[in-house]
Amino acid sequence: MKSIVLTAGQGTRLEPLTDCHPKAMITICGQPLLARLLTSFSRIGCHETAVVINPRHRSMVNRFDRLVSPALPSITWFEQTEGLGVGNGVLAARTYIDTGEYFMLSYGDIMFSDNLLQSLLNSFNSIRKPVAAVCLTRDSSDFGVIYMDQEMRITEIIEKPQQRKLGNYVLAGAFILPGGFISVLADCGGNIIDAFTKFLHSSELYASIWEGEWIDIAYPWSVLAANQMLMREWHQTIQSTSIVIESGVNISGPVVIEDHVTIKSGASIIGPCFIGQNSFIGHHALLRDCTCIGAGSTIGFGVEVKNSVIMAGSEIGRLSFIGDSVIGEHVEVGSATIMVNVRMDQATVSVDICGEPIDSGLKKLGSFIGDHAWIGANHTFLPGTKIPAHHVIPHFGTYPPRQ
Amino acid sequence: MCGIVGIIGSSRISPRLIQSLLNLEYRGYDSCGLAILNNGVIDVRKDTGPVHQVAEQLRFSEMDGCAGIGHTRWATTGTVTRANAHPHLDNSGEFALVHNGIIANYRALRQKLQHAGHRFLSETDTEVLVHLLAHKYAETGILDEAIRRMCRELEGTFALAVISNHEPDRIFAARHESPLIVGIGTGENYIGSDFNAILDYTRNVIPIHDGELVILSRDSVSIRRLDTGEKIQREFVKLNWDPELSQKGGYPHYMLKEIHEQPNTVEAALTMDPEKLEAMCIKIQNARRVYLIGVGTTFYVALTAQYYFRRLTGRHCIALSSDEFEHVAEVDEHTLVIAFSQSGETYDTLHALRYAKNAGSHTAAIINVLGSSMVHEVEMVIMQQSGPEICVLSTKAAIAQIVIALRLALEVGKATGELSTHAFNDHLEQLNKLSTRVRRVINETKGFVNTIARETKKIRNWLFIGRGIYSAVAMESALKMKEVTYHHAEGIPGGFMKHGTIALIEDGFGSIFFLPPQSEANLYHHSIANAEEIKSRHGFIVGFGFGEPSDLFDHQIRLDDYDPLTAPILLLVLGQLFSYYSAVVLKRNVDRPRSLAKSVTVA
Repeated sequence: MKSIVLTAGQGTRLEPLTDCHPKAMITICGQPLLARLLTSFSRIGCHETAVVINPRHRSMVNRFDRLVSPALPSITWFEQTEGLGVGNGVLAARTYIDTGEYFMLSYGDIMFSDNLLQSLLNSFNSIRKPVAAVCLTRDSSDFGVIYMDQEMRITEIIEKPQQRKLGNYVLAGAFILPGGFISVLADCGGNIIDAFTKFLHSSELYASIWEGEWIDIAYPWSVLAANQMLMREWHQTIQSTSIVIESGVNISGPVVIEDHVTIKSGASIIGPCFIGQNSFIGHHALLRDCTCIGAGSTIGFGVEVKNSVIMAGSEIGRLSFIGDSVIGEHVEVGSATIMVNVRMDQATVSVDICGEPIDSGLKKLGSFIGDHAWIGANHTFLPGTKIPAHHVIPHFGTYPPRQ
Repeated sequence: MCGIVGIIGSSRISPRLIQSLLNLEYRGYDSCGLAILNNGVIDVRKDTGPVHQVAEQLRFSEMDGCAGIGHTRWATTGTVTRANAHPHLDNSGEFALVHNGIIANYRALRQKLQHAGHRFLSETDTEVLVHLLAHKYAETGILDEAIRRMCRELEGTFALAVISNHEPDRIFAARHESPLIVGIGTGENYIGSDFNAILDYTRNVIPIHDGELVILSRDSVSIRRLDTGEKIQREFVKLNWDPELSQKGGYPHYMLKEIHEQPNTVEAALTMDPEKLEAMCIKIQNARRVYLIGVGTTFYVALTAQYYFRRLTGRHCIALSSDEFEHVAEVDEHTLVIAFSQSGETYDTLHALRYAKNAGSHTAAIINVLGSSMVHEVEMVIMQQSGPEICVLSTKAAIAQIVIALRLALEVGKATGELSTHAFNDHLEQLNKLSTRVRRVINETKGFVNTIARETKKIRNWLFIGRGIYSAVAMESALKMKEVTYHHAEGIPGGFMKHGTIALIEDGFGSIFFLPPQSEANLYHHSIANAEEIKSRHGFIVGFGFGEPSDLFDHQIRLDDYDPLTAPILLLVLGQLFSYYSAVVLKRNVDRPRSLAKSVTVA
């Protein structure tokens, strides 16, 4: 079965993490989101896939092709006109799908525990009718809510659910559809919810209930949730043979340490944690509770990192604290930087998303730093702070004072 | 119900037989055993206990041989002992046999064989089969002929599989009214009581029909008629997918599927025969005393019905747990006993009905399974038509029973003049709207219930509290919670709080309130007072109710489409959903909770 993966979304709600690359390339535990998704495709025997991208993100094709591994399906790239919805993404790849065949459609920004696609395929195999994966979420206001009858046939899709209708299954962003669906979609001018609604009436669409974990990577803190979801499934420690660990290093819990990592004496690593290749962990550093250190990063002396994602090539200066935060690629964090992760009134942390404060629902949340930012020494970041990519913040409290 | 498997191949089969037994464990789990033919000797190992434990203790995996049979037992004839476990051997040790079903005439056969010198080691009907087979083999010297002769003498139901050192390269099997299928592998063939037995090895299956004999070798399958011995040609069927999955219609668990079927079972329950309804109504009116009995979930159904009867007919129909019935009930010819039972096989309820019948009482029952024992025991039966319920926990059957009881109470109320025609029509109209309301509750609250369940998964102790009819709903919901999550949940009437139970409340103790509509002011305010008592002791409170939310609760679900009469049923649906999602979050075996069986047919 062929598949289409849609990754052309601009990811504005995910800024500053998407300032320099698309959200499909956000890298957690050594793998971009897209690679992880495509691996689950090949694991269920789906070896050919079309990936629809935004023309702005052409560079990701090169970057992705370098990753080529037997675990990935063979990819055909399509481009979608910028700014149009997911429906147009499907239309962009319409030549790829034969009308008479079923295909799998997936959004590129979903993450799930192993393996939603398998359960979708099982449902499809048992009934041989179009199916849509559905799941329950904490807050369904952002999703298309569905109603279904006792045969699990979807009877209604509500795009913008009102208060009373919130408590229901939502479309999980993975479908198996007949090729004919694309012409329905074209008739509806590329509006995918309209197309589904029309499709419900003309033929049948069944639900496949997914009761495992499922995350839609929509907000910066979803990256932390996705990271936690991955790590909580680990049960063992995996260490490369080429690592250098000095004496007096304390490692407990499941920890993945890749090639050529150096860990200096006195460091404590309390799993689950991930340390990417060529990273350097300084003396007396403390990494704990779902911390992911990207490849080639440097963690200085006495740094504490807790439930955070630090992407490739970043440097964290000595005596800093990074809590519940996401740090982009090649970020320099000066020494003694504190990313505070809790409000003094114990309330949940709100983050400014596209000019509007959105409640994350989390009592502990730190900061989000865009790629290539350079943060001087001695700063304190309040919970929910965002720093755009390439931003430079001078040292704080310097002597002699700046002119 | 027992599980059967047989494998014949060219390599060691014990690991595969063990796996099959594990897959079959749901058909019976009180004992299990294997018989494998190795160098002309039949090696039998069997004991009581779960498969993994017996397999380890008796070292099933060390058994050599390429042909063998296995069995998981759910005791019917004979208690749970090692001797009664299958496979059974004859006295010479030349035949081993496993069997699923019940042989009706086994006592007569056993006496006959004992006279002929056979020594019996167990109390089972199955052992009779293997001795009878040895006996017939001595007459004919041909095994398939001996099996056919044996089957001719049997009355009852059976599916059986046989190995013998006289035919070391074959497995024989036969069926009559018990399930049996053959699986085709490469250089290996299988026999099983159902698809689960062979699911891991092949998807190519030949269904076997009643009155057929199968002779299996590693590269051939031959099917014959048991009566004439005539050969039958039958193609294999390729099963594409797990049949259980298709039965579940894509739902992850039967329990969720059955919860979703509730709107339809409510409708089906309301379409009951008007004549039956009237006859039952007359019976109730004529009786001086009415008992409503059930046990477990059905007792709580009876308890709910008791409130409905009081409210709509003014009569106190006594709800009693069937197991306590004979110790407290006063029975005479003026008594009517109405039993609730999903399976119609419930031991305690059958026992109570017989006790009442002996005292000259009238009996009636509301039952889901047609042709069950209870149907023949009582004077009058109302079938609830809920369709098969597979999940061990009863959801849709319980709701349907409550609906039937409610309908019955309405009818009696009208007949006795307790309800005016206007009130009756009004209530009936609301009852007809119930299925739509149940559908809305299911479709519109699952997400909220799931969120609550995720946040409360660490709470291991729960109080489920209600007042009036809602106390019965609380108790039934608590039972669901216990059964499926293995967490402690106690359903109590709110009035109990001050009289002891409140001592339990401490930081983080969980409680769920089943709140009546605010129009029932007295009950509502008393319930809220209970919630405040818990709140002031830092307990965690969830509220299921109607109308405007209250900030007292840590979590709450309020329904806005209800009517006071059927409102308790809507809250019961919330209770079911909460138990379901709690179990899913805790990764419990939802459809087959530990230690539980669908129908309890033993004391």
